[in-house]
Amino acid sequence: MSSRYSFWRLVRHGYLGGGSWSSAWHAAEPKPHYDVVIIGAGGHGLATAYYLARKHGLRDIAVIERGWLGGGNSGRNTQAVRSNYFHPQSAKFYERSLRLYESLGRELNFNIMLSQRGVMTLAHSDHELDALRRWCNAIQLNGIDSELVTPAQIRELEPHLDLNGRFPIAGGFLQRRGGIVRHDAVVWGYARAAAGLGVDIVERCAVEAIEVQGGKVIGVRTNRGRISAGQVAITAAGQTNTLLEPLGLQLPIVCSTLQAMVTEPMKPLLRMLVNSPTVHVYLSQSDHGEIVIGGGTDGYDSYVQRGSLPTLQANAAAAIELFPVLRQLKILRTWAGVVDITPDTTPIMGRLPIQGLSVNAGWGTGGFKAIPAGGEALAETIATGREPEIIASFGLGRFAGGHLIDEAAAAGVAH
Amino acid sequence: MSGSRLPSGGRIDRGRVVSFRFDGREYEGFAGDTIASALLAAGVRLVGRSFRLHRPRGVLSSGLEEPNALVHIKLGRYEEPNVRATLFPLRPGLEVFSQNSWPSLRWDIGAFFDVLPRLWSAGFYHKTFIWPHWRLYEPVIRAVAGIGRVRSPEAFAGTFAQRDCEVDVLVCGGGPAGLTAAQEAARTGASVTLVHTGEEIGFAGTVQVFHNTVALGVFGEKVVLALQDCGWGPQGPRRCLLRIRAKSLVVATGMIEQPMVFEHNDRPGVMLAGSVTEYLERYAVKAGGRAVLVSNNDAAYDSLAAWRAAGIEVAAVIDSRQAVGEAAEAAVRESGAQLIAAPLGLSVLGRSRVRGVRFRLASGGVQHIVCDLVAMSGGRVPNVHLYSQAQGPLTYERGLHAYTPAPAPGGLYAAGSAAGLQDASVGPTHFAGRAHRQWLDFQHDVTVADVASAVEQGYTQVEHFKRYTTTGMAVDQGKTSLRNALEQLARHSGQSLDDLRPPTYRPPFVPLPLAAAAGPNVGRWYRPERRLPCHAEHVALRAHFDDVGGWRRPLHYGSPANECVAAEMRAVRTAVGLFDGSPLGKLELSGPDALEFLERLYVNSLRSLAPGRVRYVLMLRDNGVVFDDGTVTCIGPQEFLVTTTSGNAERIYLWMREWAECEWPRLKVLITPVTTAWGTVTLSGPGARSILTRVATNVDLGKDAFPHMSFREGQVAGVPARIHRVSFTGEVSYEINVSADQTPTVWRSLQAAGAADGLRPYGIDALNALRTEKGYLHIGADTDTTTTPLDLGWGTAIERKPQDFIGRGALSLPEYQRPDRLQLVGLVPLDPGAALLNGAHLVRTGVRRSEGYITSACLSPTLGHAVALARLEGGRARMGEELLAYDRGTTTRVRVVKPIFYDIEGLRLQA
Repeated sequence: MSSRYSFWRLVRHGYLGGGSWSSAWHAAEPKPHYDVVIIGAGGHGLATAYYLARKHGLRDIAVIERGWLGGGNSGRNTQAVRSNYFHPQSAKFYERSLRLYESLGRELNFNIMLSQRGVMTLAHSDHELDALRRWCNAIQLNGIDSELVTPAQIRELEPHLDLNGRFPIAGGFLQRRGGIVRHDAVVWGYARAAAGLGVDIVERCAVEAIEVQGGKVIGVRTNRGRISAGQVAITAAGQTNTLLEPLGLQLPIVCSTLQAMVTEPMKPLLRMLVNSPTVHVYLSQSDHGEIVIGGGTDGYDSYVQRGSLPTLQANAAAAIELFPVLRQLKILRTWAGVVDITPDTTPIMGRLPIQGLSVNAGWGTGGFKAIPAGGEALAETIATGREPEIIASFGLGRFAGGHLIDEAAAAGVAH
Repeated sequence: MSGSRLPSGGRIDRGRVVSFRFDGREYEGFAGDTIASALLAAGVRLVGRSFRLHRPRGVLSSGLEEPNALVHIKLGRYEEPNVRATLFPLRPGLEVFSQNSWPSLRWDIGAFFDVLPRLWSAGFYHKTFIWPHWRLYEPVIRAVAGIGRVRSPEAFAGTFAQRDCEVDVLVCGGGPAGLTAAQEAARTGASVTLVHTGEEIGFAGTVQVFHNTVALGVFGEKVVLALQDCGWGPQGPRRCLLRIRAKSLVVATGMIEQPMVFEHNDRPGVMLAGSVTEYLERYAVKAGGRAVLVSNNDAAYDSLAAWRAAGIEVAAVIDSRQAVGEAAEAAVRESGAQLIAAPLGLSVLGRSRVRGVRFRLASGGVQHIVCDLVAMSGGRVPNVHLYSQAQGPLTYERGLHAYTPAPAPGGLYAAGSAAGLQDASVGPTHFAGRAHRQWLDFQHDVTVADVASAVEQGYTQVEHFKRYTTTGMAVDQGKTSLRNALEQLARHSGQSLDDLRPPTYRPPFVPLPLAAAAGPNVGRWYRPERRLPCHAEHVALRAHFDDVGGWRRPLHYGSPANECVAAEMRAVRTAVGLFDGSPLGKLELSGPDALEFLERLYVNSLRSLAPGRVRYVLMLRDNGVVFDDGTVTCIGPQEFLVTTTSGNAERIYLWMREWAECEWPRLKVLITPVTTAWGTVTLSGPGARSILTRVATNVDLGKDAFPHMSFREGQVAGVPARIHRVSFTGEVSYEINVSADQTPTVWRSLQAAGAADGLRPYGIDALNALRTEKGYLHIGADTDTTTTPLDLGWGTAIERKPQDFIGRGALSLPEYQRPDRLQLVGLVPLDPGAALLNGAHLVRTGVRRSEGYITSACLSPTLGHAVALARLEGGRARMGEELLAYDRGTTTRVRVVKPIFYDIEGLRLQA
């Protein structure tokens, strides 16, 4: 068990000869067999392992990762959390996720720096304001906080926002409980807690094949040997189909590059996460002071974790369009991730038509905010053999039946 | 005064004295100085504070790698935070401010953090501030975080141009290797471009040179992003963003000298040895009077003679190696300094400026040496940022203690010292000492103790290590920290540097102004306005514009809005209105298979469409949901005009091409988009025919000769026109298409012809209300990407069509048959005075669950009450039901009715 974190421990370790910190997680050697093997040590995979151990008492679990823990989208996103989704199924799920985030720091004993300074979506015309009103009402009826704000209120909330730019601002839609979380901390926090409960985390372990016998999954073949397993779960985002295709399965997922950037760290400039579907950019300021800027995907299918120049330039122009003050700032870092997008921008979760095999994928541009609830629901699916109610509509079967949950249609833009 | 200017030498213009202010105090320098050189010449050592511990910081380097001397500058109305003082040239009137301290640089309250440095070790914030909630601590942390500050939000930020180049060979770096590479490449006849950070260089031959230019990033396919400094203009610096696409890329970006690791190696007055020399030679500035050189390589000794000649007394040379080379030893002897080889510990004395060094000899004694400058050289490492960004592989070179380029395929080369081509070998970079006082990353305050702590906690993979300690994530991006930090990581974790990989290098190499990245596409050019052919006419009519579907369109004419919209609607219902519908999507389809193509594309059957007739059509996506609507007009058996919604004009054209070219390449059909070639002016209302008669000469407008849903060609106001008799208002309407440049003529003629009959121009708002009264669909408002034609009540029409069409297969999905699908209905308020709002949701009394929502609502002046279209669960079977329209806590009682409110029989259309 790793040492517990607290201010007192910091003092003790720093000045009272309190010994050393223990490892947050151990680099485990893979054993030949586990009850559950989870492929992909991103937020969703680690959270799944944690809840399996914590809530369902399973201990014989491995999370295997071809690269480094949290090196995929968990470490490449823009840290946004919110639950203001249009459809009741989505709203319920993301609200559960936000609730879990709200107590996650304490639960994991790891400060994930949840910063609930609000998420605001802007409308630039009456037509867009109508859409926001419809969205806002839907969310209120789903029992989640949300409000419309006038341009005058927006001026108070974000004084640097230009209300009279090329696309004047007609109003906005606000979820005050939305905000940002330090993304790496979520991954490390789950990893530490899961490892503390006996979960093996195996990095640099690439799955070469999922092994199936008689319609039932029996294990995985990796570059570090065979691992047999009672159940296998895939939490590998854009790589899901690469793993599934040899089994004759293909999920309706296309992958695209989504990039983001940060400026140099500045004293506080922005208060909220501000999102404009029309100007197509969203911005927030981290607790470190960097302005985090994201926009649309690069616009073509790709598996490359490298953003294109035109999109970078478009994002920069859009950021300045909303916040002219940002002209004075400089871009410090850029990065990109591969987002796995389903036709209705709603994830695919639950069991697959191979016994013992389940999946959690298709989060597109919004997977980070879903980590706690995604992990919790997949853990329950694995432990009980059936999907909990909260993800009942996220199954693969919806594509056969046509019951899509189109959040893009409802929200206009995802992030 | 410890630093001082030499009486002669340097590449400064002593004839031009430049005065400037630093934190309010006046200083003088010369033209040719940077802020850093001028401050050093004036003896200023303390220039900033570090990020985490607010440690006092001085100038470390003389170049773009500077992590410490970040300042805020103000010159006229130009301001910029986080400027590297080592690069910014002195200008008259320049005001320089230090950053990240309060109340003053000297007496900074944040320096408190350095009292208990081991408390604020790397990642401390993950271990505390958890109870009761982070939000209680966050405001304080936010206030102390951040380096720079926006002092004047309205300040100028300089001007930026953008230029694209294509070239055979691009050479980055104007040193000997870069120049040679460029020259040799040019000799082969290739087109060659060279970018370099220095001043203008004379170049014989055909090489295009961009000086004062820094290459910032390599994107896919060797597109190199560079930023050129083009001097000063009225709004600040004029800079140009270069986007250079090269077939081959030569990276000749040289090396960057690295610090040594010892206690308090971050104190103001500890500098890179090469920079001490550069300040001497370029700026004639002595960075100190009495220096100690701390080194691990012989090359650093070369400077001793120059220092001594300039009057810098060299007190001692402290080398981490047991023995140094003969030449180096001779250089020490000549300088009269003491050589201390491999001491057991080394520490800098002094707080806000160096006062000396203290070290422990192998023999056990502790010695002090008084000095005011510690020059350090941990060897030079190849500057591999660009090479790595271009996907070039790196290998670890033990002799250099550095990652160097390995050969790469596909026209990527490293040249000169950037390629690791130096024969110097370097010794240990690290002296013994208290780990938490040995700095690795100066700006982010990462110490050797932080590395040890990160390793202890398992953050041993390079990316984890980087993110956990934030090494290399500061404004200098690790140029002077990454090498030493990775060595410490290897040392503490037992990993081999051969196996470690430096973290991914990503653009930009140095911070790129956001405004430069945006280029000229800001302000009114952010997304240039698309104007209608009759824009000037609309302006003259006092139109209120907005962007609709990418066009500047009149919402209504005059003010106040409500009254104008009502008057415009009344004009259409009782007299006649004039509408500019030019953005309407227009396509011409021709060829023997044009009809077959349209049959496959649209829900409607079109085989029965006779020449001269028009049909309203609906198009689906392949998953069965509604994509677009519009009209198809038959001109002849092989010739059709198609209109689409304005917002989808381009999308539908691309969609058609995709099917024609990718899915059905055998169909012989030619698709021509003509949206912007034709202006569209619509005359609508009971008086439309009589007004058109007055201007249209050769078209028979008779009720039977030109009935509803038909098409004629002829002249309108002397202009060739295509006239559709279709209606989106419910009144007799003529959609007149004329060539875009003639549209204003036709608009004005119609306006004049109708003036006496009460003709009024009407805008989008009135049109929207008029079509809502009629229950006409507005795609994208009354539908979304889940709406099927079945939800709109098109089931019977679809059953009648014999042929397959896009989306038909999907319509049999079980989900689409559910009785509780959202179906299009009409709503009226029970209280005739009540308003209905778009976006209100429909609920039953006492049940907090949305059963649908209003998609289009308006106050109908014709009917005297509000009407609305809505999507309601199982709506078609719920006619007459009473519901509540919920809007943010308030409710309005409504009744479900058919989605048509006006002229239900359609008699007015046929008139």
